[in-house]
Amino acid sequence: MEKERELEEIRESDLVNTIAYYKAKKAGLIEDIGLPDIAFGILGAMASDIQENVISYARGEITKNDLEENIDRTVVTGFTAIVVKAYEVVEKPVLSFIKSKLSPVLSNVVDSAAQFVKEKIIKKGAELIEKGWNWLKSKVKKLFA
Amino acid sequence: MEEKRFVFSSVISDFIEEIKKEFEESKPEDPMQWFRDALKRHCMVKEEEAEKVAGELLEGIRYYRKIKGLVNPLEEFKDKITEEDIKALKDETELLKARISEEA
Repeated sequence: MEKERELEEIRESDLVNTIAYYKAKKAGLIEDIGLPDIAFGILGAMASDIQENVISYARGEITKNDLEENIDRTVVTGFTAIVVKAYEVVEKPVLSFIKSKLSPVLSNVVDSAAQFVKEKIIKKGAELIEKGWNWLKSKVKKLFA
Repeated sequence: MEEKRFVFSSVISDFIEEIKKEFEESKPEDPMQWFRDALKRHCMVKEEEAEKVAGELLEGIRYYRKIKGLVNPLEEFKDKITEEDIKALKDETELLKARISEEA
């Protein structure tokens, strides 16, 4: 029962994105600003929201204005969640450093999430549709089913 | 600097694609076990640390969703987040929004 509830709260895309960002941290692709591990789960969930929104925008389900509002909301939520959690585990000087460096890190995360959807999902889907395949719809449905 | 960031975003985007493909192909019966194993395979997390690291990361996902449910997260935590923090965040987000909405 507990496992089922956990899966309801956490989506497949959250797990995939979180592994990807933690791997990026280990590979030195995300600047080491002293973020605790919990922050990479927050980044993974943020990325899921961005991916979902970019797909909705590309499918014409939301307007550009909606997309921008949702990006704002996602970034503010991610920033707040990381700062509040960092307060619990790091010393004050380290926290000031994290806060001063966090915005570009979030930007990098959001950018890569959007790039994944634009390049790997939307563009690939569009190319295949040109060849007569109705691939995009099923891929998008599968991605966020 | 912007160029470097773009290259990094592209590599991270490839990571997402690779890991997503792996997840879909393996069709795990227990996604949480898959998650712990993926940490070991992809992120050089040792066997004895995998449980702890996975727990932290999952807590992060849940905490994000909790904060997202708040009406005004910045207002709720105004003792921890200053006006300067918010301004820096807004400046960065404006650049980002322009980049994401183009060609989407």
